Amino acid sequence: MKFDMDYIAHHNALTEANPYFKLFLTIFLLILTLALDNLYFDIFIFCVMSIVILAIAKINYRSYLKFLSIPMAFVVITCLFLIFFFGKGEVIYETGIFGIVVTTDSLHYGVYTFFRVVGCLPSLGFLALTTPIAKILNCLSTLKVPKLFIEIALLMYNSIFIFLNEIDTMQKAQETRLGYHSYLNSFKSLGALASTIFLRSLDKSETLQHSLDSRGYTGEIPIYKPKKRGN
Amino acid sequence: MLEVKDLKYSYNVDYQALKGVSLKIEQGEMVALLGKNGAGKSTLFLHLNGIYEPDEGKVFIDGEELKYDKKSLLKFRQKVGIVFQNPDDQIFAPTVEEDVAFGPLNLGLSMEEVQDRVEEALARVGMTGFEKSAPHHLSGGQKKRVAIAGILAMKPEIMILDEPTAGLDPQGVTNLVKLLKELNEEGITIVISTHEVDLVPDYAKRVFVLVDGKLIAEGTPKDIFSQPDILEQANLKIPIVTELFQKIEKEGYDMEGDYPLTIEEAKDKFLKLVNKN
Repeated sequence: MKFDMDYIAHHNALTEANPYFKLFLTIFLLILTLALDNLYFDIFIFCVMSIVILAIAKINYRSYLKFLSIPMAFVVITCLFLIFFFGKGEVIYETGIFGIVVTTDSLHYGVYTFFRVVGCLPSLGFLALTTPIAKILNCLSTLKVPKLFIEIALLMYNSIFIFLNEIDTMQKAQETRLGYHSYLNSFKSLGALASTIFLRSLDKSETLQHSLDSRGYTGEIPIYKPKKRGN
Repeated sequence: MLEVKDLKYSYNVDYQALKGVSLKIEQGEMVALLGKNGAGKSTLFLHLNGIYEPDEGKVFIDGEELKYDKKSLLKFRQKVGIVFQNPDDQIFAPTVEEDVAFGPLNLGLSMEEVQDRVEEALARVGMTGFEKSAPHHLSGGQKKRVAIAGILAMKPEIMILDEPTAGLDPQGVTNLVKLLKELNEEGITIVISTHEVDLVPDYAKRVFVLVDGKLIAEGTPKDIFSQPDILEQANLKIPIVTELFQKIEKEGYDMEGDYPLTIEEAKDKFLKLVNKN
């Protein structure tokens, strides 16, 4: 099964719920979690928001796990680094390699950072998985967030999907020719993929600029207010 | 209405993409620009609303010379709409309606006017009901329609389509050609670039052939498709029905120099031949 966050955002039980409420709830929870900095509260929020996402928004649990897995991988790596390479204070464990040690300080950092992220992820996931980006951006623009940010977000969001598609196609083409058959040529293939994507993105950005200009782009993307339906 | 005089354009010192192109398109016409990949079709198109500024030569729209200051550009870009080959290059907004509204909003119209135009344009291309959809969830044919709606909403006088049938399934191609013919009947001048020759005689009254940045021929589809040397230079072929009748002629049936170009013409010709023999 493929994980398509945008599709999920458009098709779940909370898609039509008030985006302002969702946005504010998320921001509130994020601030609260970070401010309290309490391990039990982090876990509490994680459980509550996971239940909201799975039971109320009715998002498939496998999609939710996939959503969590990617940032989780980063968090685990980051926290391991924190534990072993940072902090001062009393040494509580010596690895014996290059004098790398775990201190009370670094353990504290590592553990707290990990749980903070664990608490924040589902809160953010709640917004990201239940609200189409168009609605979030509309919200932000009515809240007077600088236009520049919104425009960049808008164009980036659009490009991400185009590039994911391209990467997918190119990767399949490489796999077809056994591009990921061994470790060595996996690296080579991935390198080729990355550089091609970079060149292609330059190309694409130029064409996009042309097409925007063709429709009278003035350097600012105007905001469209749709007609109220049901009249 | 749209006139191009001796247009020259180079991408860099070694590569001149347009080597002096002149052409004239009258109001209400539907014309095709034929040429192989890399002949300069897209480059030429990007000159027609001032995206590219030519090294030499001029572009006239409604007898007025194209100027490159902001205000005139906006005016000309409203008159001349370009539908890009790949709808992904054109559709950028997170919802269909926002994308269609982009052009008219840039023209500075009131929100009510824009709302009406969006509704009208989407209805015109048969995409009513998709207002809130995300463009990347649509099929290729649907994206193409949204891209066309985005241009239609600006109410252009001339609509330019770069390889509009590329990547569409046969049904999609048929529907698109039908839509373009209707738009043409409603008064929009239409210019289509393509290298799929089979459909050209069906919609185009006039055909231009572009080879390596030069216009080597212009005329009715009948004229163009009866000159094998031109087609060869342009890496094109004649429509498949025409080829069939040329082959039949070699078997000893006299075509009197008149080869059918479309299925309809072919049918009549065939019945005539059958009845004669």
